[in-house]
Parts: sequence; structure tokens; C-alpha cells
Amino acid sequence: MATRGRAAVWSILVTLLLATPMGAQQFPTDNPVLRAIWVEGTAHGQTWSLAQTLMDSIGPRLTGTRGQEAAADWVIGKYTEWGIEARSETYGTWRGWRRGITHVDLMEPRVRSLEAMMLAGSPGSSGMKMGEAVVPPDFSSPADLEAWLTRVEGKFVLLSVPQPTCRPDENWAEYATDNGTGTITMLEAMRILSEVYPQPKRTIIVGHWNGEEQGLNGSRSFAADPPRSSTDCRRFSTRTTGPDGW
Amino acid sequence: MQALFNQDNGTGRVVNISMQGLTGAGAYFAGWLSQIPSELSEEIRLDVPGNLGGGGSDYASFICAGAPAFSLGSLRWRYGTYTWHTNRDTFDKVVIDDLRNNAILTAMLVYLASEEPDRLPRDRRTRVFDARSGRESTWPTCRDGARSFR
Repeated sequence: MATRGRAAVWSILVTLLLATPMGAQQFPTDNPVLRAIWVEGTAHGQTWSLAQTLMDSIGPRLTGTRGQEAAADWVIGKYTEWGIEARSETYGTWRGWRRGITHVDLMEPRVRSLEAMMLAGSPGSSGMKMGEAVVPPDFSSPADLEAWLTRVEGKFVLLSVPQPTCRPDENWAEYATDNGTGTITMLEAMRILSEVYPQPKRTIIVGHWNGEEQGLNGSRSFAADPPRSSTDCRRFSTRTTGPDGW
Repeated sequence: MQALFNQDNGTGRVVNISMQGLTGAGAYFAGWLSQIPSELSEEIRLDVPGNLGGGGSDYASFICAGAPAFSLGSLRWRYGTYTWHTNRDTFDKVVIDDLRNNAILTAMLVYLASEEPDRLPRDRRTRVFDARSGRESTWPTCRDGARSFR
């Protein structure tokens, strides 16, 4: 109990240290909501734990994968916990895919484990494969290439492709800074607002759209076909729509 | 829609907001930022009236309709050459303090936009230029999203 008492005292001190000097010196306005946003975000901020959960525990979230589904469920769960209405909208259907183990070793002239990553959507290899590595020659004609291809079965073809084209947008990423940080920014902003600004003058909607890398698919679908099922969204759509449709 | 704030270019603090070619938006942003603590706002550059971004993120799905959709541009650190679209883009690269400040900034902008008595003006600049090539261009056309693999 003594330890607990001390922890409580420290947390109060820390809050005062964080909140008071800013309140006295740097805050440009007396607006109580802006001040409350600052205090909520600095003294009770949850960005670290939210980011850790999304980026470490849930991890990669490629559109159409279980990771994406788990992330969506988690985000909705968080909003629900904070008393913010949230749901996922199905705007399309995507093929699922799950990353397995990729492990590549150079065997000759010496053993060396290589840094390697399968492209997303690749089929599995059904166990270990070992084979010769070959470099394609210069081809003089398509027929030349066709003839060469018949001789490379079971071999690994090494292509020297410049880095940028070797990283198709949606294929390699782990999605922390692109765009876990965007997700967490909005999640934490909504958490703060729900605490200190529960009766907004205008409806506030946050969209965690997926499929951005594949062509802004989530947001374009939302813009083309905004959800109208909920009371809030209907009010949003009819009350504020202008000549631009938005 | 009153305003949309998009954040999608890395982990750094917000340092740039383009008005996306909407000529009346700058005054509102200046008014909002003047109420936000300098710790969050002092390094933000407003591009007024700005040009349309390259369409590289979700705000483009709305600005194409002329709706006031803005990108909260981060300080990029080495985003483009280090973590971007690679398997190195992991939690340990995230700058948590900047992320916290960006969330607070976003909450404040959303609050101020919500309380703003006026509806944000939709007036567009008459000449627009392609963000990448710098050549004169036209306002982009909205497209529907793909709904499945082609």
C-alpha cells in the first residue's frame, strides 16, 4: 500500500509539471476545450500503448488478410470502449493471403543466410527447395528466351532489378510508419475528443480506409458511396452536402 | 463536409499543410493555428493557396470533388529511403513524442473546424499545376475505388 501511495503522488506531480508551465506561458488562448485537449493528450496520452498494440501485436495488415481483419476489429473495439460508434464497411472482396516462413541460404561457395522476403501473394514452396542459381543471358529474340526457359526448371533465376521496382507498394511493408502512425494519430485524436468534446457542433467522422496503396480503394469507394445506414452518417450527408457532393 | 484531415507520410511532426488549391482556406487555417500552442504549430508551413498534392493519399479521393480535404504533412526524416514500403517499417522506428503531438494537433484542428461558424469556402485557384512535373494541369477527376482484384 505504501508503494501505491507513492505512485499516486508522483503521477499528480508529473501532471502538474506537464500541464502548468504550458498553461501559464505558451497557451495562446483561454479556450477551455483546447486546454483540455492539451492536458488529455499530454498527461493521459495513449499513443505509445495504442501504437505498440497495432504495430507490434497485430503487425502487418495487408488488405484482405487476417491481419487487416484483426486490426479493424481492434480499432472498432477501442472506439466502442470509448463510447464512439464504430463499424466496418464492406466495399469490396479481396483474396486472403498469409505470410509464411521465408528463409534463403547461399550454399556455395560458402554458406551464408541471406536477407530475403517473398512478395505478398506468392504461393508457398511446399517445403525446402534447393537448386542451382542462374543468371539470365542477353536474349536476342523472344524465341531465344522461350528456349532458355525450358532449361531453368528447378533453378533459381537471379534478376538484378533496381530497388524501387523491387518493392511493389503493397508487398513488403510492415506498416508501422506507413501508415500505423496515421491510424494511431486519428485514433488518439478521437479518444481525446470523446473525453473533452462530447457534444461537437458538427458530426466528426474518422475513416480508417484500407487499400490506399492499391489505388486509394477504401477512400474512393467511401467517397463514391458514402455510408447512409447510421443516423449520424445520414445527418452528416444531408446536412452538409454541397454542390461538390461533399 | 467542413474539412478532412489526412495523415499518411511518416512518423515525424506535422510541418506542412497545403491548402490544395482552395483559395479561401488559408485564412481559416491561419486563424485555427493561432489558437494552437506554439509547441505544436510553430514549425508548420502553410502553403496558400497551395497546389493539389500528387494524389498520393486518401485526401485525393475528396479534393477531386472540390471538397476541403487536407494532408497533415510530416517531417519525413528518412521515410522515403529507409522504412517506406519495406519490412523495416516496424514499431521501433516510430517517434512516439511526435505522434502524440500530431494526435493533439489533429484533435485541436478537428475541434476548431467543427466550431467554425462558416462553412469552409470551396473556391479553387484558376490555374493548377501538376505536383510532380510542375506543368499546368487540370483539376483531377474523381474515380471509384476498385472493389476486387482485377
